[in-house]
Amino acid sequence: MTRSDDERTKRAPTQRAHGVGLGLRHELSRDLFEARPAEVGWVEIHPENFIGRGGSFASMLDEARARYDVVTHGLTQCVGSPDPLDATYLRSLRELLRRQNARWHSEHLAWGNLGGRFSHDLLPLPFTRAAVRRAAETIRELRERLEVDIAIENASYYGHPGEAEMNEIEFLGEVLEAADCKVLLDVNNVWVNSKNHGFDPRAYVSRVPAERVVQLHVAGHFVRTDGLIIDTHAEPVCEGVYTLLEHTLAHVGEVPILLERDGNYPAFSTLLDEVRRLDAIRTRVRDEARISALPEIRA
Amino acid sequence: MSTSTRTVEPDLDRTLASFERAIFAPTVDEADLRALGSRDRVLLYRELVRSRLRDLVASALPRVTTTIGRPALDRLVDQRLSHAPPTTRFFREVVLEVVDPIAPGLASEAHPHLDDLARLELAQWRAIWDDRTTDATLVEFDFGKRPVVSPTMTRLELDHSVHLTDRPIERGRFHVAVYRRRDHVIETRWMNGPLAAILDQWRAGELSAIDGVRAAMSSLGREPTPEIVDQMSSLLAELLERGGLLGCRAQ
Repeated sequence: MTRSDDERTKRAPTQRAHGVGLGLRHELSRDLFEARPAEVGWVEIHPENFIGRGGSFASMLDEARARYDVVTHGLTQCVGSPDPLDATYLRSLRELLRRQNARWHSEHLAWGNLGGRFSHDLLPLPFTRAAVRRAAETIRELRERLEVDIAIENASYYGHPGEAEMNEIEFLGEVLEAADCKVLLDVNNVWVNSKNHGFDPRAYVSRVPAERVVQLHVAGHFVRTDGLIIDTHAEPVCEGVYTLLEHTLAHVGEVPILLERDGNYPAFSTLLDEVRRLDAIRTRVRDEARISALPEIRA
Repeated sequence: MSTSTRTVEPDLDRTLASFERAIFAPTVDEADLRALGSRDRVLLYRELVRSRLRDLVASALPRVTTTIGRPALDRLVDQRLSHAPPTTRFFREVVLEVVDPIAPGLASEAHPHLDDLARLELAQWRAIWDDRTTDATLVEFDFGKRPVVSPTMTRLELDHSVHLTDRPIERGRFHVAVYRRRDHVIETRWMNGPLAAILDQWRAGELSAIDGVRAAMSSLGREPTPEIVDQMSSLLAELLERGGLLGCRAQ
């Protein structure tokens, strides 16, 4: 056996997330690992929560790798941030991705750090050509350094900084073209933004280039008394998001769906009910697509 | 691999700098808000960012928070964020950046133990996720070899009994070690002066275990009485079992 063969056998199988996954959180891990529900097909992690971290999180990741395909979704390397990329961190991230034979890694189309200071939140980018150039430059560099495809997530935003030169879906489209990258389409974020900023979420989804979509996110949100919706990931998924997911799947085809839950955790069985409903939507849309394709196959 | 560079985008970078000031500056500059457009929404971001970081610190320091109350803690965190925004990308480490510099000044007439409590809770917080490991080749513990203590261990000298949660806090001199056990439980071990001196010698790892005991006793001007030997044996057994002591260096 050559050294490279040996190296390959030590790695996990190539990342092949399929069906509905769950965000791996410390608060959920015990229930997930004990119950090992068939409905959960894969898990997603935030690498920042595991890189350079000892203790129970290291064990949790080992256990997750043994049981599930693990997909990574970054929080702090937003592609719109102006700071140079952190080579040390990216080496650690690349190592983590290699251990999982990752096919893609996702980050947010937002910004979060400036001058070495981190906000630990997703801040909105202006929809400008300069921001497109900045994001595309970062994505290309990330792809080169991490040696995997980069998918960017459409972020929720509550206000647009400065003057816009285009709307949100045009901005997303220009970045995807300029960087030639993948997209992690967050259905909840489309929904939240459509309500907060007044656009048609179905029309938005229909303009997303389906061939670039590698993954979907679904989550719950909080509606303030003044009507503003905050993307909390701490509430049940709402009916509007389920409906939009169905429309999204019909447009993009079958891609892995991730349920994000980051707080206000319900009983695990309640969370599994949401996973089952997502899977039922996925299955229904897939079957409908197969049926509608039948006449063409016969012809 | 190429070196990371950023193309300068002056307008974009001005906008982001204004946004960042609106979040972290001690007071919000109206000129920044005007430049950014949606005033209320920018202020919403200021609150979202800061409240998330305040929540983090409160969750890491539950007893400090209970002692001074959440509004007072929030004011302290806000002041620190305005003075020095986080520079770590790791959320868990923000607690250290925010609290480490202010912990020494926390003690007050009403709460003279608060700095000790903050130091203790910080040590416990760090031990949860500390990833420091030893590069030593380990063998079983042997008094003739140099011991290796868990790198997750922090030794604290406290002036108040904040580590004793089942009784009123008293003034005194308390020697405490905080470390993460093999089963990931955080252990807070109180010990007397001779044991603390021995453990400090073992942590330094420069002398064999037995020479460390001798050096500790010498520094205290004491003889290793049977009582101290018994206590040391108990501490040794406990640390080895729980992972506070990893063994000894092979060489």
